[in-house]
Amino acid sequence: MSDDSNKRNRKKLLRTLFLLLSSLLIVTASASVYNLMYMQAMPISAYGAKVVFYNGADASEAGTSVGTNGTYVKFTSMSGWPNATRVYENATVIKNLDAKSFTCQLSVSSFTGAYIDELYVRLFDNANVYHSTVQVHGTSNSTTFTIGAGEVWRVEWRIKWNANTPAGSTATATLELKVIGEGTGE
Amino acid sequence: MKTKYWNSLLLSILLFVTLSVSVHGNIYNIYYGQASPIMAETPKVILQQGTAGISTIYMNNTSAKVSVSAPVGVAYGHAFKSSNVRVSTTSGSPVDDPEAVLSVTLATDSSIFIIYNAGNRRGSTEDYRGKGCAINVNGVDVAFSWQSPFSSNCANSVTVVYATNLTAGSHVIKGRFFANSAGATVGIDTRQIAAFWFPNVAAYYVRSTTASTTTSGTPVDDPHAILTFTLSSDSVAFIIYNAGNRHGSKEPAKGKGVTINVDGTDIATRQWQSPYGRNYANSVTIVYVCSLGAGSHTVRGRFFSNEAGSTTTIDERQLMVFNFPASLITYGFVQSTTSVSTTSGTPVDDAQADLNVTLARDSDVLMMYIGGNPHGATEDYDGKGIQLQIDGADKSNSASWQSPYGGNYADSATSLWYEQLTAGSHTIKGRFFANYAGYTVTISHRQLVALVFSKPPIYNYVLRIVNQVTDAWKIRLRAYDQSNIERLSNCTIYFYDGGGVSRQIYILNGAYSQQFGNLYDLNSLSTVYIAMTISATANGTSLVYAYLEVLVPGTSTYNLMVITFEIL
Repeated sequence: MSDDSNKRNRKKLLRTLFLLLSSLLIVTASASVYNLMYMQAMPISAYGAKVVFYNGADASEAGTSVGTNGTYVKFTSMSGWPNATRVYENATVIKNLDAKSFTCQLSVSSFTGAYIDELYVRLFDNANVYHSTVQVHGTSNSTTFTIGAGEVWRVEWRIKWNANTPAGSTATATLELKVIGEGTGE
Repeated sequence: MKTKYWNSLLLSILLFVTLSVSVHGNIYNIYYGQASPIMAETPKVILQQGTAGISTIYMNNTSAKVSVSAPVGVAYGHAFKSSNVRVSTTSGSPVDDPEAVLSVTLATDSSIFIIYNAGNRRGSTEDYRGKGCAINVNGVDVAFSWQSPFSSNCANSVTVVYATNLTAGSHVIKGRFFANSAGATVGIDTRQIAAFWFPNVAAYYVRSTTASTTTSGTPVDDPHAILTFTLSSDSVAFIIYNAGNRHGSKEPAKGKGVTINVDGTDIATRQWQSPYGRNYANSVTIVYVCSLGAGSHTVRGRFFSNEAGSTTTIDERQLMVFNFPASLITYGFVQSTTSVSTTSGTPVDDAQADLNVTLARDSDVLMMYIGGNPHGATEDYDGKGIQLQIDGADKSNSASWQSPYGGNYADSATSLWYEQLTAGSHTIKGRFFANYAGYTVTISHRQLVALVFSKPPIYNYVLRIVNQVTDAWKIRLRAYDQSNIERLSNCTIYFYDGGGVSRQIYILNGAYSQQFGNLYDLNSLSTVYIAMTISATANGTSLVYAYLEVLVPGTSTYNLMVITFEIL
């Protein structure tokens, strides 16, 4: 083997070694290094709602239907006459079954319909004193209230169709009741 | 170094805030309530035009406006009863005249005057010492008067007057009577009792039981019958002075006379009466109506002895002055000093006691006629009777009779009447007659007054409420807003269905007395009417905004239909 041949081999060896070192560096830089941690919810329990809907005194007129567990209420037979205000003074009630009070927020979730002049949901407290109004069809579409332990609040619906409303017109309104703090301490 | 410190502090704050934000959380449940569908229905109950006033029905027949006019008038209430059923007693203390009981209900606090006039005709059993009469209010005897006749079983009548303020609510007013000599029989053949009340007139009155005497043969002040007051506006004053002595007090056989003094001037007429004998019961009544301008005034009762130098006594007197705003009342009044005589035993006209009144509207009219003669005028000892006549019809139950001490002695009588008269012209006359036909009796002075209180017009009906379905409803009116109702002396809005009536909204004397009514049945496919009565104290425009509540029976679900009442 000539000196030139040895020299060439050494050069190849050095190049290969450089390539190997570079590869090693690349491999080291692209590897994922991490620690594993665990989050566990156990048990996730089901408990009875502490603030619930109940039928009001006008449930039959309003077609009030309270869902299982009292966390949903639907009114299926509300109506009104054009240019007159229909009032369901006691369409449903909100009861606090717990021994502590809760802050609640009643707000409009959705509304569809034309010809409605007024669509108000009004809250009356445990002493049947007016508290506040949610304008389903208006600008004041949310209200916050605190329902005390064991209290019952009355929910009134007021509907006024415009004078030009064709008979048979319909509207739909969905409200959201957020009961804040319910579930803590369970 | 300093920069490094501030950087460290800033980083610490940033870290703290970041941590705080990181740990913020909220736990809540979300429930849903959904109304679907909310339907627009064809109205099941609608409004339709009435026949009175002007009514405008808006689109869909679910709202309306009613426009009516309110004439100006005085707010008032009244009760009246007359009877010719004879009653008698031997009691020396007041007993009820069962034919003279008024049960009244005042909507608001009011000034009230009460007049009770009761007497027996010639020939009825009557003790010569005569009788006393009293007015009783809610169980309390509040005013008295006494009179004695010429002799036993002769004509003898008594008038009592009382004024006071009564609170809103129910009250019982009675006329009562008694024998001036306990154990002796006295009686009443006819009587009239009238009560008129006003929530907003300037009323002044005094009743005193402090004795006053005089020997003067000309009028002197009764020191316990003086009223001084200030009027805020021009008024019509209705004045009654009634004064008398009980049995046993000093009184000449010729009796006493009375008159009224207004602002220092005696009125043109007087009245007189004589008793059975010296120191027997003897009373006199006089009435007067005049205009009084705004400002201060003094009204006095005055009395005198019919026998100058002999003492006459007043044991009790009542003086009242009710001032009605001049622009709000109609009245007729005549007084005269022209003598008229008759021997007729049946009523003949007192030609000097003749009033013609023209009523713009149906009205409640109170009439009072007093006719008498002084000592010395021709008067049969059986005395005279007087009564009222309206449009040619004698009001026999208004009759009153009196006899004097003897022939040609002082003798007067009082007749009282109330009647509802229709709009138009009416003639009211005082009439008189001899208690013993063929013997002359005289009226020398008389006062005849007719106070006219226009009845609030009735708008019957302004709207119809029509139930178009077989469902039954409960309905009521509820006033929710208003403007300029202060001028309304009376505004009553009520339902009726041809049978029952239900007052729904009531404004009295400028304020709500009732803002909503009781629930009223609107039966299947039926109609209920809305009617109104209104009067005002001034011109203007008033608005009452009301909801017609149409309720589903047994629930708190209802419809609100807006009705605007415009009162011009």
